[in-house]
Amino acid sequence: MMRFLLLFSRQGKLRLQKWFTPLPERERKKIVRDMTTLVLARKPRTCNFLHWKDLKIVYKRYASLYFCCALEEQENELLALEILHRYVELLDKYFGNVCELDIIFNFEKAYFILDEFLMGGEVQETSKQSIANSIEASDMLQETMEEYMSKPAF
Amino acid sequence: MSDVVEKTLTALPSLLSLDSQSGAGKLSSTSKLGGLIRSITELTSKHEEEKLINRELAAIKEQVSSPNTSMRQMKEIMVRAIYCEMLGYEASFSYIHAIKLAQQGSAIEKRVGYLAVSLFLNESHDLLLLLVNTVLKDLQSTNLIEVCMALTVVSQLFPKDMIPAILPLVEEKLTNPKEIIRRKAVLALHKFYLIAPNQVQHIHSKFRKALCDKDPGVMTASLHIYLQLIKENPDSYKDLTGSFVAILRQVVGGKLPVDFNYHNVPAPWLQIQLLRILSLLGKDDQSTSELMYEVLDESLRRAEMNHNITYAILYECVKAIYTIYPKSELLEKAAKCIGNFVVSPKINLKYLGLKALTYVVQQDASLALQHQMTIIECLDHSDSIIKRETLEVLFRITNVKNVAVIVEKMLDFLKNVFMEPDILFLLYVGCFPLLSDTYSPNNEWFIQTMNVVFSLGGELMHPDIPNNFLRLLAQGFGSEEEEQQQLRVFAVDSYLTLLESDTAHLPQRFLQVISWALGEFSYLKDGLEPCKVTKLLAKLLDERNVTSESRSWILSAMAKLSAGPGAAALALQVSERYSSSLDTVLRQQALELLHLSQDPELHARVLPHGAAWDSFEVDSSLSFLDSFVSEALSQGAAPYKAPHQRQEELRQEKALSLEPYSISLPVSLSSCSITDRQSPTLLSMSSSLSGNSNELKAGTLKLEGVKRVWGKEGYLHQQDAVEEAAQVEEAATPALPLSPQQGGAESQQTHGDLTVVEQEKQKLASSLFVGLGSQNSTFLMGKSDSTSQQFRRKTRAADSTSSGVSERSSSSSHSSCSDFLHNNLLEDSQNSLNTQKIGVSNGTHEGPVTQSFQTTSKETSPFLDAGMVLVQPCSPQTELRDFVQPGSSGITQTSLRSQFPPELSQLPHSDISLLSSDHSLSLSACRAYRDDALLFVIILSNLKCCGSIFETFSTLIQVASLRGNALENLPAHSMSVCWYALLMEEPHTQVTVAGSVSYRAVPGHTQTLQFTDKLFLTDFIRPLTLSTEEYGKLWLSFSQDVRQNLKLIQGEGDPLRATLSALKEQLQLHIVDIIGSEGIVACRLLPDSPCLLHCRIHGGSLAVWLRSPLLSLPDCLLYYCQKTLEEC
Repeated sequence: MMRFLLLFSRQGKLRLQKWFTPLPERERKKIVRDMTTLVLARKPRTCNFLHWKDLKIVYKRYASLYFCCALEEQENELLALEILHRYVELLDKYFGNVCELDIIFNFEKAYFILDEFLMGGEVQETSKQSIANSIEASDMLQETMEEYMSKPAF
Repeated sequence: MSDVVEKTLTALPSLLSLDSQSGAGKLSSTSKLGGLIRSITELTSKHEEEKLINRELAAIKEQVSSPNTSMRQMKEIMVRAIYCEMLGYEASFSYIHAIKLAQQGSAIEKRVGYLAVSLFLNESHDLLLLLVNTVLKDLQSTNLIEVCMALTVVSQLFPKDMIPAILPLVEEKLTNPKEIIRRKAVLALHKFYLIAPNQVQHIHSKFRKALCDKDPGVMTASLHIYLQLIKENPDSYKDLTGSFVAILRQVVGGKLPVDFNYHNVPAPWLQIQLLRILSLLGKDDQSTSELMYEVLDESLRRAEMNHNITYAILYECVKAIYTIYPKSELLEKAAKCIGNFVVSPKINLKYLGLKALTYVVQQDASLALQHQMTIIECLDHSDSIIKRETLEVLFRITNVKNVAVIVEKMLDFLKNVFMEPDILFLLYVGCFPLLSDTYSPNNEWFIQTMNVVFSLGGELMHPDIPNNFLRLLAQGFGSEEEEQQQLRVFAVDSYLTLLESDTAHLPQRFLQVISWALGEFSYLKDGLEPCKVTKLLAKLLDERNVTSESRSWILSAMAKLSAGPGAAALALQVSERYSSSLDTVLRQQALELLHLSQDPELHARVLPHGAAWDSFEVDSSLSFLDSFVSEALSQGAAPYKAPHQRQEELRQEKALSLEPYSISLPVSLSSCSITDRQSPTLLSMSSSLSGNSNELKAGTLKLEGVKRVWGKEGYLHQQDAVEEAAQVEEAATPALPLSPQQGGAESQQTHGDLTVVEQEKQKLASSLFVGLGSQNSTFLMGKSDSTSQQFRRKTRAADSTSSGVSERSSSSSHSSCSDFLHNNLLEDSQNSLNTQKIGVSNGTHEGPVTQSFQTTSKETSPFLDAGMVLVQPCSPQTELRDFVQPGSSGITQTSLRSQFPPELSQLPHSDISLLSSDHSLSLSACRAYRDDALLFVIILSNLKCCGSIFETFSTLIQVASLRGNALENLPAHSMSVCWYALLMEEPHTQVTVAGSVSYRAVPGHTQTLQFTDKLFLTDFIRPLTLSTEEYGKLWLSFSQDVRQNLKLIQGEGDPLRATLSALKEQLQLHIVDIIGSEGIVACRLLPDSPCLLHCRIHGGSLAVWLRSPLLSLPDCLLYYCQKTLEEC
């Protein structure tokens, strides 16, 4: 099971955080701090895996953004790398040539996509197309203008 | 009207964004959020950012509380609030509005509301209760999206105790026509299973349905639950192996829709999940493993594409192959595969290869030999992570000869990189093989290495390390007394040197170790004045950075030394200073020091020099105070109450009692006043409880009663590491005819012009991998003699620790080479047993030299602590021939039972079941229920009747919450019974007992028979007899409670009575009283943790309310109540 997923920039600014197990606020902040310092200190062309306490940290850098997740002991690191990659692919499909700015300005969308992809720290759906479909379906829920106007105004 | 216009305006951006899906990002940067983000990026200092955000938060606060804010605006505001929180500023005022948004908004707003809730709130947040209703409503919605959102939020966070409220709705979703809902429902249930397993146990059959779902996505989701279930209890799911294999075969064969492909690999996530499940199922189970060989082979074959995801599958495959019952053909392929990983230029693969190697070398060290050059290269790798993994591999292959080199590498690593408690642990364990070597310089080396470990480790160090180290100094590791003393003198010497230099940088733990060792052993060093040591200690005592805990260690060391002439004066001085210390412990110790230093006679009596460790007797019940207490009580003193009890009473007095109990049980409460609560029964009850908890809280560095995690051979749980080193010596022989040195020499010949660097590497390789090669290398080095000696000493070591038992070990010296292997194996078996005592009956093997060890088989419990009881295994050794036909394995229950000693046969017990057997030995087990413990009886029977000799028998039980240990001597053709008295320290619904019996059927060939069995909570439940009144009082003092409605047995007569008596029958409960439609029931979990049940007929069901002082006991017991009633 994945414990958490963090997205942060090269400057260490947090862009997205998802916690799959409950942690107190202070603990979360400490983890974010630890992760950014640990990961940002890594030199290029070193391996993408780290140890941190009893967790395995898997990170990958895409352009200016670091994707970083923590796994439990028995999980497969390579697979986690592919999870990160699939998430990037999904973002890319949704935003069209995604960049950090898309995620900054539309972070809630990034969360929605993540929720369709992972649930409770496990992969929920691996098909790119089905995830895109369900995101689109929820996006389409936005009421049309007519419906909106016809509602009584209080 | 203006409202409408405003709404329209705010709606516009999102409407526009609807038109062009992909351009969504760019457009909304014009929104308020966009403005906020942009202005933040323009700022230059943290301070400015803080000001801006605070302004923003103030604006948000105003807007959210305004009644005119529409839901649509609210959504936008919420996004901004989330952003502020992400930057690290608190926006707690918006939490309630997030819930409101989730409650009242339309779908899109609801989604943001749920998102905000899941980001803002924690699982224990009070506001979360407000969300329950919303979730309930959305789960019932006809709108697909709303249901999905509700399921998503439920799996993200949901209060544990509210799960029953929504469980039926989520369950119902398992049959929803939409697969996306079914999938999410399954995952939500997975989450529930993780946080509250007992709540969902009744829907296991539905999980099976999900596993058979026609949609592969739902099936995949259900595997998460199955992985968890199988991890906890592999035996109950063996029947599914065939299905899992079939699924995997289909997936690997590409039978799934292309939708599930990932980079042209069919459903990799599914594959990996299945491989994991299969490896759990096939572990230690030959017949199950056989089912999967074929499909594993196919997976290995199919995964050939050069992509990360195929490597991920391969890695998982290799892991599975090495976990399940081995098949040589597959192992070979897997080993090749690991080889490919290790030599890969891709650093991630190299990492995984090393990881796999760490795992595999324990079974087959020849692999490490194959890759020795790669390992050497990795040792100097620029990436410290790779280095660390390499060291871990090396530590799995430490032995007497290479440990010094490996430890040196490790210390280098520690000094240069960063502190890791794990590595320290490994380091400590790794040093052990060296200790058993004969040459004394190693003792010095060991002490010095430990000094480095302690000073580097600092406060990060695992507390077991200093504990064990001191124990080792005190008890020795099995060498001659003389050498033992030498080690202590070394330690004293090096510590004195350390203390004479600057001590400011030494970590506290190390200071504690130093002061203890000095106090205990400095008398061993000739010509060392205690005065000098005391002076050094006094200097240390005055250091400012020394914590009061360390101070108390130092003071007790001084107390030990205070007998000498000069020391007394100094002691007086110190004790004067500290007798006014604010710290009560220090004050007490200072006063003790004062008395001891002034009264040499007392000193000699209290702190004798070099007293044997086991000669101390600790009266933990403090019975010597009994007369004092009774005197005080007779003079009118108040009886002692444990802190929690006092608190409870305080609470009772102050707070209004809101307990509904007073209505349901008027008898107990009305007669119960505060003075009543001090009745003797209650007091004794709670004091025994508190006594227990006190025992658990033993001081961190206390030596007596410390759990023995470390043994002579190192860390007991990691014994394989050490054990393997010995195994390797013979295992590697056939595989590698060349010893490493020879191999190195040969390659040097072939590459005439090796660079100096390479030569150095090879030198390093030969020093690292020495001892892994064939045994002739050992003989070449002329150490055969030492090994035999080493063996002899080990035996002694084991003897000396089995406390208070007189044992004789006579060993004739033997230095013949042909004995070497045999000795090694014997030592090996001792390692694996980890018992305190070794029983070897006359070894009559045909060697040039005969050796004989005689040990008595009486044993007191070496592990006795924390409420654990060990019953002496008895061995009525009877001729097996009497009831077993030669060659037949059918041993009847009656014949087995007739073996029971009289004290066992009278107890109620379960059926005898066969645990495990091989061609010569069979193990059966049975559970006997004694009032104070569960007796786990193991019957060992020798199936072979034709002349083979069993030399050694021993059993080891090792489980998390149960402990026991015994050893048995069993001559040929007989059957023996031994039993363990077990208690449950922490409630679990079931625990697995695992153990092994090692024996030798033929001389020089040790076989091990593994067995596992399950014990259930119900085995440890006993009725608790008490009166209604006592029940009422106890009820109030327990904090853990759980309520649930259970099925009522509808039969003749009173349903409540019928149900309760069914529970009583099945679970060994005691029915205290039944009044009208209510009943109270009590039981205890062995040893003495009570659990009270209050049952009431409510509607058509039985409302049960459980209370207990233990955290999970009510939960676990409820599980069994539920199960019992379902089965009725």
